[in-house]
Amino acid sequence: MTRELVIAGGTVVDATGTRRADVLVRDGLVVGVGDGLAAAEALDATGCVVAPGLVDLHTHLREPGREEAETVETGSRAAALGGYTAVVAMPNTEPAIDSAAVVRQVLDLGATALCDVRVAGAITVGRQGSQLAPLAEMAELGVRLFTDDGAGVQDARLMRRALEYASSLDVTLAQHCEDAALATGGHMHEGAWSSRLGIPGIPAEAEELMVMRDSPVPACTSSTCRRRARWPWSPPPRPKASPSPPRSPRTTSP
Amino acid sequence: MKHLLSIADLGADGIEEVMRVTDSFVEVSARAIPRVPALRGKTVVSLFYEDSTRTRLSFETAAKRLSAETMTFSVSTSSVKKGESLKDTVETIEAMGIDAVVVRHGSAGVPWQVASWIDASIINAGDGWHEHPTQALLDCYTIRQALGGLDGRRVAIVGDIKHSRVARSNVLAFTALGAEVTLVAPPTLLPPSLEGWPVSVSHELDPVLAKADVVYLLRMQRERMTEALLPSLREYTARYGLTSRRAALLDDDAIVLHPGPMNRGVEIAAEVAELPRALVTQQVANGVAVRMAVLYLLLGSGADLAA
Repeated sequence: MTRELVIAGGTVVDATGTRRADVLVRDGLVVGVGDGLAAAEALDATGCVVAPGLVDLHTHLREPGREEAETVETGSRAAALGGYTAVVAMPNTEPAIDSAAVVRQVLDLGATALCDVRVAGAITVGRQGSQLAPLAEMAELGVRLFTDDGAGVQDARLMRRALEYASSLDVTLAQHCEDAALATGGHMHEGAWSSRLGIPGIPAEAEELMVMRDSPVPACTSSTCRRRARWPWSPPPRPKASPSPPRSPRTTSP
Repeated sequence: MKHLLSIADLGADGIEEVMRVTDSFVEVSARAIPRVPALRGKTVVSLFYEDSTRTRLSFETAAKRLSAETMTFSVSTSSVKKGESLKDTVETIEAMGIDAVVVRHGSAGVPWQVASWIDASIINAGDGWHEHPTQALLDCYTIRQALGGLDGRRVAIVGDIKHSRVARSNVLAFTALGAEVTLVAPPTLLPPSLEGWPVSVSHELDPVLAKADVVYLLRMQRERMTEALLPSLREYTARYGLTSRRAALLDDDAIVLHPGPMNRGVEIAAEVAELPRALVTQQVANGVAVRMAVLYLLLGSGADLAA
């Protein structure tokens, strides 16, 4: 029993551009985008934006530990309201998301949330920057992104080890590029305004030096060593496209 | 105008107005009973989150000479130690019925925040490294008293400009009144950017001294030694200290100022501090009169201070 729905009269925003168009949905999948489409059920989208679900790769859901600021539930509610169907929760929680236990906790909370909730794990235990966190254990639960977000991994040797170790796990490491020694005490960008206002500044070098330090270099120690700069999200391989011209955008699970 | 938060709010006209009113309060301070009833019935609170002797006493003396009531809020003996927030503290004080708050705090911008929370007049007595308007006003007054004015005068400000609220307010005030300002400091003690600052810069003190009408020395804080800004105080004194040898390079009529407290032997030699051209005690005396003028203009006559 085929179920068809047309989302009519909205402003479609997708990879091909922005235009007024109708969207035809059959059995939960988008099968057409164009003008004058019709179906048994209709949703009037006049004045609305109709778009593929947005994905936020860097969300602070603050749970566990800072529930007075945000929870997985309230964060996912805000996300859904803004058109985000998937978010990636950052690990700077209390305790940090640096073990299977906390990963499991957040994923369980996310299971009943209003959007897909994925989890980023910490690179180091407690995000303290001195000991590698159990990346493989977390990857087993589906974690594909690791970062100490909120702090950069200061120790160059540890970061190198993390990249080497992670190279066997098909995951991405994201560095929070901030050299603590240069940034310490700063409250705003160091420049004309911080000088005028007498506010301690954070020099641009605090970020740039770490980007230069950790960015891909030609001389890699291992043939399997894959280093990534900040946020290139690697989507899983697309399922084989079934013949359905015109090719329609569809939401991919991140 | 209701508050005195920044020298920029005053402009040249506002500064002149304050100095004009200060003249009459200098006269009051010289009387046997240095008191006028101008602010009787008004309450002025000192809210000092940073230690201060001279500024706090100066404001309290000024308020008392105007017959205002004074209250002192001292952080070390307050419920701030129990974790009370700035906002709660300020609103608690206001609930007791006050007309003006004199605020000193370690963070730039606090006086503006306080002004947004309560109805009283707010006077910035120093916010972090940002500004110290009444210091600049008393410095302008002292220079005018000694040299007749600031227009066309050459002022050298020497020392830790980067961390100095006095320097920032002084640059605004002196240039507003037409002075040529030169900052003298090693590169590590200058602000990261001097874009938009109407000043010259020199890393050498001696060449600047011969042409200076005013040498304004900033206190070299010993705390800065831990931040790798200078190799040592000794090296600072060797390059930038106003020693007797350097003081002899000054023009006969040139004056030396310092916001206090002085580190004798560091930015200023002990014997130079005693020279007639060093007007530090004059600055302090003028400070009371200037603060009387500010309190009077904000709470008393209703005369507008705005630029």
